[in-house]
Amino acid sequence: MPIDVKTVKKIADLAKLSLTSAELEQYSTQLEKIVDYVEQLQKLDTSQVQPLAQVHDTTNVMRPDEVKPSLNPDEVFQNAPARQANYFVVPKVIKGTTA
Amino acid sequence: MSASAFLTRVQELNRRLEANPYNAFINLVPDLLPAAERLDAKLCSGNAGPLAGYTVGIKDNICVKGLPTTCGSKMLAQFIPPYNATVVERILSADGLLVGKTNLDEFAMGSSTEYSAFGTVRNPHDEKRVPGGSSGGSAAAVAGGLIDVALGSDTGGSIRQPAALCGIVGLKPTYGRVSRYGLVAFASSLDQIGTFSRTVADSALLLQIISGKDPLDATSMAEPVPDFRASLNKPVDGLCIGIPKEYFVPGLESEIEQRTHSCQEFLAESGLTIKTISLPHTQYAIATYYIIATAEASSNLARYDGIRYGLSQTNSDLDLLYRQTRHAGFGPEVTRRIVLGTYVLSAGYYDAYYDKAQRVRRLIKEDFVNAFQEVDVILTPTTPTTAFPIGEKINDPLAMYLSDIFTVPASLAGVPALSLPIGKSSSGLPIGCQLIGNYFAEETILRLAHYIERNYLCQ
Repeated sequence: MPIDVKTVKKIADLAKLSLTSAELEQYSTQLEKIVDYVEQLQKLDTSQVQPLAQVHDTTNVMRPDEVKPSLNPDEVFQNAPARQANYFVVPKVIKGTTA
Repeated sequence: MSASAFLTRVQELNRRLEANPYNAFINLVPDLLPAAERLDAKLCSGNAGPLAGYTVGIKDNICVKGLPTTCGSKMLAQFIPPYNATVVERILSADGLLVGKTNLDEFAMGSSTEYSAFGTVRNPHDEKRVPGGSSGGSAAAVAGGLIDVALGSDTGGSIRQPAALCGIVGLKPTYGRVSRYGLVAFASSLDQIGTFSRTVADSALLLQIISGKDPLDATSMAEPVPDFRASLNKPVDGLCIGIPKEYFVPGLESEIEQRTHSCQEFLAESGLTIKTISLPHTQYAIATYYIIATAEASSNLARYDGIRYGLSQTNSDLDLLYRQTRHAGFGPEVTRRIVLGTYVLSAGYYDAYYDKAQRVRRLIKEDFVNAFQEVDVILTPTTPTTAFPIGEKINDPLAMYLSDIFTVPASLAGVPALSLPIGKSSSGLPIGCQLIGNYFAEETILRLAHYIERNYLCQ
């Protein structure tokens, strides 16, 4: 199936990836080849087969809700690009108001 | 080994590591000697843990507190985990000496360790060739004699394929056998931590230490953990070995095929039963895998947004912050897989690709369930080729994916599998065979591997 640059651009937008026009061209060619390859699955009749999400077919794994020690905030926030008290700082997303 | 011999060995190791042979490590533990001296004293006093005297490498997608965990990516180049992975805690409790974090394909996505942001790893048997991947640094460091054992992670073959290409033992345990708390997620329904070593006995020892239920990983299983080392010398006669005809296909190098057949004949002469079997959906495994693994990866890697940790490209616009951070942080193979995974999950394509792949995955799992009604262990080649030259497949993603053709099916089924060196090609490159066991039957494949290692003469 042809995967054009427009499709790759749309998918990259969904995945929040900025790609250059050269990258869009390259990925479109490569993805088309990979998607052509995976098309072979359509040959199999799977109408009577249930999808398998994980191999042990376990259902919910429950545990008692107990208070336990957690990570030290200072050690956790040392990896944060911007911190204010025990919060991560993000750009303002609400438009039209003043801070 | 005597205690002083250990200290001498670590001093020698320190000297060798200065040049970072094979580019196997991304970061080293600073000051190896104080820890070595402490372990040396324990060895002298006779109360050391089971891993005392062993030097250990940790794949750099597994968290060690206070050391960078880069995942081979610019995205996490500066990330310092505030905690240890459960497997690391267990290795430290057993008195293993952590040496450093080993190189890998970015986010464990690759089959050659050429996709690392920290440079390509070289194969110790021929430095112009790849070590395999994605755990290429762990494989090269163990094969090159830098360290005794290492941890890797295996999603579609990332332990077994580099073990085969580097001529060492690589074990991917059953899905759920080993806790993944502290392993950076790639494809959560497939990822499993496992071992690299030069002998089967060392894999049994390391597996013993890292196995078992962990309250911090809800997907780890409560299945009892047998004494793997105690079982190694139990008899193997009576085992029935299955040879799946679908693994002997065009594209398999003739020397690998011959070597695998020779190993099979040796087992028959040793009194084991050999049976030709069929795993009929094998040919669909790579297509199934690259849909499921990329779909899960696109979801797992959504967390790298430049806000909480990792690379961040500061911007007053949140959407641009996300996009620019992810463009700057992810390399080409990771980007390719995120795009493919997003595509197969997107509206209009979900049923045709993702849902379809999940159904075929069940058929592949049932192939193994049916086979293990008849046989105890399945014997196959680990890889279709020996180590390929650096650069050969880097621009052809599909060719790279096909190098995992024999390891991916066991990953999709979640069964344990081990790659064992069984000789070398005429050009001197290692050849590995793969022993696949039933769920939680690591004990059986380790026992058979130990028998082959001890008794099958490799020229």
